[in-house]
Amino acid sequence: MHLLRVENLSVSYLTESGEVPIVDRMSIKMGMGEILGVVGESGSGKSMMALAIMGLLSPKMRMRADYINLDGEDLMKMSVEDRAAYVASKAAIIFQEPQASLNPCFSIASQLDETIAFHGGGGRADRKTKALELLDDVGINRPDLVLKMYPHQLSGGMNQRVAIAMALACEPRLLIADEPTTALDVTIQSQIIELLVKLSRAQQSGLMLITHDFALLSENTDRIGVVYSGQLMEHAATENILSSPHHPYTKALLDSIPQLGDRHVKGSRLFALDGNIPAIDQLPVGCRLGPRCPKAERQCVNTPELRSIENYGKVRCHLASVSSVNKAEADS
Amino acid sequence: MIHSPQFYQQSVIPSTVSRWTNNFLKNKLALSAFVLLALIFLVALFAPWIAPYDPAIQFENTKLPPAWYDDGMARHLLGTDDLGRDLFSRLVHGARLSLKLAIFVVVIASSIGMLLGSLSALSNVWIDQIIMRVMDLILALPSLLLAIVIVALIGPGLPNAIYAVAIVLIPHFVLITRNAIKAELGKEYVTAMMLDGATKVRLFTHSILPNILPSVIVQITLAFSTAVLEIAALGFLGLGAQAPYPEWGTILSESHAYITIAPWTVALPGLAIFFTLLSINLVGEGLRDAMELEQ
Amino acid sequence: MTSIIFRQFLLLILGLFTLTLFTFGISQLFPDPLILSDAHAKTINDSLIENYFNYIAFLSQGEWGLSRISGRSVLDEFFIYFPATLELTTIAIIFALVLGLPLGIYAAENKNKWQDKLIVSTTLIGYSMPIFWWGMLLVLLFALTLGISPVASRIGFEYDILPVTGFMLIDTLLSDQPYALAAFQNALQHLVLPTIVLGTIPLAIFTRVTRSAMIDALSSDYIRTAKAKGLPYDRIIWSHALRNAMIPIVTVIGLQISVLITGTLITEKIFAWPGIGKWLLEAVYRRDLVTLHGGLLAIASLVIIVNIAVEVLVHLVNPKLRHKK
Ligand SMILES: Nc1ncnc2c1ncn2[C@@H]1O[C@H](COP(=O)(O)OP(=O)(O)OP(=O)(O)O)[C@@H](O)[C@H]1O
Ligand code: SF4
Ligand SMILES: [Mg+2]
Repeated sequence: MHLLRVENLSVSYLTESGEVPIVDRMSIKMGMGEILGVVGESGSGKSMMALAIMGLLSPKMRMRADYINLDGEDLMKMSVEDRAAYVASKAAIIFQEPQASLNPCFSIASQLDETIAFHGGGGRADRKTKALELLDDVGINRPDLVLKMYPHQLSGGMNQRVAIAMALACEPRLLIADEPTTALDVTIQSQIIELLVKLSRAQQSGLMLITHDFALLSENTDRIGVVYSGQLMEHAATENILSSPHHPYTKALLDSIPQLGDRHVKGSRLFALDGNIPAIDQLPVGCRLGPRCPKAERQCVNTPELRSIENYGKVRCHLASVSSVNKAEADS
Repeated sequence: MIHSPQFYQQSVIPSTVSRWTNNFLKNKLALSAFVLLALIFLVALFAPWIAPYDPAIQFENTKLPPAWYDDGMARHLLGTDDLGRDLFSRLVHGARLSLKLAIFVVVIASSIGMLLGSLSALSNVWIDQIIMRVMDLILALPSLLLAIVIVALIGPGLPNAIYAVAIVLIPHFVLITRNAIKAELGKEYVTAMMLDGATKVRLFTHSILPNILPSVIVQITLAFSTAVLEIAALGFLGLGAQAPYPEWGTILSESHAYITIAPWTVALPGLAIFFTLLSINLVGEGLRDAMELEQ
Repeated sequence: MTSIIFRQFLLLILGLFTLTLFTFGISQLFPDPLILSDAHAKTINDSLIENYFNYIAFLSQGEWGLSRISGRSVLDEFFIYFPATLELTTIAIIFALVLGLPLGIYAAENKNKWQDKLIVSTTLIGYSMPIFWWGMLLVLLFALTLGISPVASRIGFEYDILPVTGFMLIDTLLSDQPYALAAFQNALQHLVLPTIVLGTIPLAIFTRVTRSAMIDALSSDYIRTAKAKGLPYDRIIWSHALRNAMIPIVTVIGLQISVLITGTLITEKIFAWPGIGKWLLEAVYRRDLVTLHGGLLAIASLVIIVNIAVEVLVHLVNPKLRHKK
């Protein structure tokens, strides 16, 4: 039984001159209580994918998917209202900017209390106890003091802890953390990641950890998805990816981490590949990595599909173990 | 590599002014308002040739309705007023008068305002504080009230009303110029320019002016619309242009008494003011959007 | 918070000081008509500073001079005329807020759709409306042609209402005449057109500010968080977004007082409304500088006080400012 199964999720941006594709037929699977890492450069569409799953895309965005199965129910079959209520009961998300994601006009107490109340929190006193507990769970030392404060009075790390507490108040089966530490100090980053991993393990809830930072994922995740220019390039178990990455892009990412295993090294933007991620309206012909790929060949002008590799995972590259292609499972 | 980096086209970055122009031209509403405003300006410019009669001549037919009514006459397109003056001619000359006065007011207010603003930013704290406190005071006073007090002190009539309106418009220009200069002076490249031996004039024309230009342009349109409105309001209250003058507000105040007998003498001058204000405001709004200024 | 109130209090004193310097300057330039009383005349000497302090002393004792028209104390007259203006402006502000906030919110919710475009263009029309013309048009249509509204003044001649508070809506209800209720209704009817005329520009401004503040709020991360938590739509709009949008809205409400007083001068003339505007215009026409001096002083002080009060309010609604030292 899977916690999350996404099949062919596409997101596009509506403009006067038509739709601009941002996320292209993304398929992702997560088991119960599993930790999935999603890694990719800035602008590759990670956030859009997460927002699409949560149903939080702005009205200018359109999404399509064969199905998005969350804890046994297909979100694509639900009405907008049902879907919002269902997702809120099953999943929660925390964002990159902790301060911006909390309402500046309300105290921590009132924001937490509101969330607890909406998820069946009981009486006033019970909710207060619950709020204190939650803040304690996320490692806040003086919960009673923090409750009285406003977001701007807390540091980024504290705000992110509060945001996590608020997400936990929804008792989610799936927590999506969209670059939860990018805006924080290096020393705080590892604490927050440890906290997220610990909570996920303790509560047997799934965690989708979105990041630029490959080093961060290597020791904390069960599976990894590598995203480039709106497409899933590789999706496999963490140990497989670490030991034998199949995709040239993943290899380059791994090579760019100076010392694998040292999570204090910030390798996030030190990509080994020259050039930049292509603009959405200037995509190259064929493989989207083509112009930057060190292994590119003649056949790469043809668009590669995501293919399953036996005993490994899925890879989108013409060179990946051509022998073991399982055409039947290949994406259309 | 199959695809060399040149595969990607280098997109041309247009110059700032041409980008603004493009933005503005794309805005259909602002563009039509601009055309309307240009028309009003043309009418004002060629008023003596467009107006069929002298605005002061009194014809026998008083309170004649516009030509499209049954009892209207073709030779008085918009009818006549209570004294038998041709309304069309009065409105056309009114456009000339109103725009002339408003432009005069805005030129005075913006030059004094920018001068005071520069003075305030570049002089010592005391002069700065004195100027700013006076500007605060003017801002705190309701504009028409201040204008009325000034008119009361130095007497009613056109020139005095004009000075009153100009004074009211000064503070915004002072604030924009002062804040922009202060902000610019804090920037590193300005210090660098000064170290390179740039003169104050060069500093002003090359760094400060381009930076305050967008806000000043928008402020000028705002001030222009306020000036047209305020001059008309003073005229309406009997404190601005006096009776025989074909000033739009004055015409309105004269026809106020005949509102039931000759409603067109009320409706038409107001319509002229309204369309002038609307087109100025739309153009101003379009300029602000085109130059990507914050609201 | 106390430090903020203290700071604003200092600003208030500074504002009033500049104002009195200004009016004192006027009284120096036009000395003859601006002597407040015989006692004041005796104190005048060669020292400007002494004269200023005497001037302030007389003002603070309520010696604002006698009106050249009626011979009554200017300060007393101000308080006679002021309630009519306050009643009209208050109702106009309420009218503008009650319509403007929901319209702005509705436009923001439907950003770039036709509803939004319609509302935005209508506000531009309202904003460009010369209110003296707008007032005459409304009178022509609703009072003179359709006859469904009174033409002018605060209440019909047939009602004899004793001024107690000076607010017609309250005084009619306090009245022990048998027609008290009918008089109240009549007073309300008299308020409709002036309220619309005076409220049009603030309405346009409130709608636009609410719209842009709500658009900003609705596109923020914290609204996304609130949606993710599964909060109901109404709560997201009316509690989370509006609470943040109130910060710029309150600031703009404060700025409207000047607009309202300018508008009051015109509206009161059109509707023969016996308020401050009519009082001051009369004073200008008859060149009664003492009354004008008093009116300017009173209204400008009022504007300064309201601006400071709004500033304090802005600090109250914005937690970020509230906690700043
Ligand atoms: N409001 C928007 N309008 C138009 N395009 C958008 C919008 N938001 C995002 N995009 C485009 O969508 C693409 C994916 O954006 P997304 O935020 O998902 O990237 P990301 O992988 O999360 O990057 P980051 O690491 O910087 O958060 C980007 O190329 C961006 O240009
Ligand atoms: S398909 Fe070709 S260009 Fe694309 S990643 Fe594989 S080798 Fe590189
Ligand atoms: Mg992102």
